[in-house]
Amino acid sequence: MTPVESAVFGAASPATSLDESALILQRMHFAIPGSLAPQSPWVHEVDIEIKELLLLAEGWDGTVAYPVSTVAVSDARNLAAEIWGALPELRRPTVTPSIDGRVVLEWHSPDRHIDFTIGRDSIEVFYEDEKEGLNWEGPLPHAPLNPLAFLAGHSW
Amino acid sequence: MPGGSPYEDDSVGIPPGARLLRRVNPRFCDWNAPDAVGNPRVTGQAVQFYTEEMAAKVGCPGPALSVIVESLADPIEVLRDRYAGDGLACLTADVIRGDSGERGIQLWPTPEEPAHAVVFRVDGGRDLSRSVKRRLAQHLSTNWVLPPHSGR
Repeated sequence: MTPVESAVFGAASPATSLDESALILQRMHFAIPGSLAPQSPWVHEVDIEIKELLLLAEGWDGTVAYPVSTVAVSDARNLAAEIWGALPELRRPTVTPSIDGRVVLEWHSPDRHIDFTIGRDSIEVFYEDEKEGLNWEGPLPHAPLNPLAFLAGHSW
Repeated sequence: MPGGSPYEDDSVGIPPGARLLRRVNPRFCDWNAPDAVGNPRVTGQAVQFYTEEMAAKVGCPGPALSVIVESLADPIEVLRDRYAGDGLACLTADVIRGDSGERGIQLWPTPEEPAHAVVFRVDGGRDLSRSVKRRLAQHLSTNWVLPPHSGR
C-alpha cells in the first residue's frame, strides 16, 4: 500500500475526519491503483502539484490567505489518486489552493464543470451542466449525482 | 451573517457600467487550457470572499471580495508594479450585482489602495455560491487587463 493509499484506507490515516467521504467514495466503487506514478500520465504530476501547495506561506495571495492545510493536501492527494484509479483515461484536473487553506481539484469545459474542494474536515463538490440545466453544490456525501459518473460521461 | 450586510451598495457612485479590476493571483488560474492568445482561464477561487477574520485584517467589517474601481485607480503601470506577480482582470458593476441585485459594491478606500472597493452579498452571506463564482470567473477570463505569468 502506498503512502497515498494508506492515508485514506489505512488504520493510521491522518484524515479521520474524512471518514464519511471516504466511505462514499468506496460505495462509488473507486478502484485503488496498485502503484501511482509509473502507470499514470497525470497522477504523479498532480500529486506533486498538490504537495507543493504546502510551500505556500500565510499571505501567499499577496494579502491574507491562510497556508494550505496539511490534512487538505493529504486528502486531496488521496482523492486525485482514487479518481485516476477509477477513470485512468480522464484528463488531469486543475489544482488550485483557496484563500482559506483548502485544495480544489477541477475539471472544466465550456458547458460543463465539476470541482472538489477539499478542506481539513470535509470535501465539497460542485457540478454544473449548462446544457442539461444541472447545478448542485454541497458536501460530497450528499451529492445527488455520482461525481464519477458525471466525470466519466463527458469529454473534458 | 444574519440580519444583512454591514456594507451598503453604492449604485450611484459605482454605476452599472463601471469597470472594476480584480487582482488575480497566478495560483488561481488554469494554465492547462490557455485561450487563443495564451491567457489562462480564471477559476472560481479568484473570487472567493475573505472570511470575517481575513476581512478584519484588511480593515473591513465583514466577508467581501476586494476590487479596484478603474476610474479612480492609478495608471495601469503603477498598478502593475503595486501588484507585481498578479494579473488584473475586469468585471463591470452590473455583472457583479447580478440580475436580481443580490450583490452590492461599496467604495472602501485603504491606505494602500485608494480606489479599493468591496463586493458583498446583500443578504450578508459569507461567500458567493459556486455557480456565481464560476460566472464571474468566466467574465474575468475574457476580460484580462494585465494577464499574469505562470511563474512555473
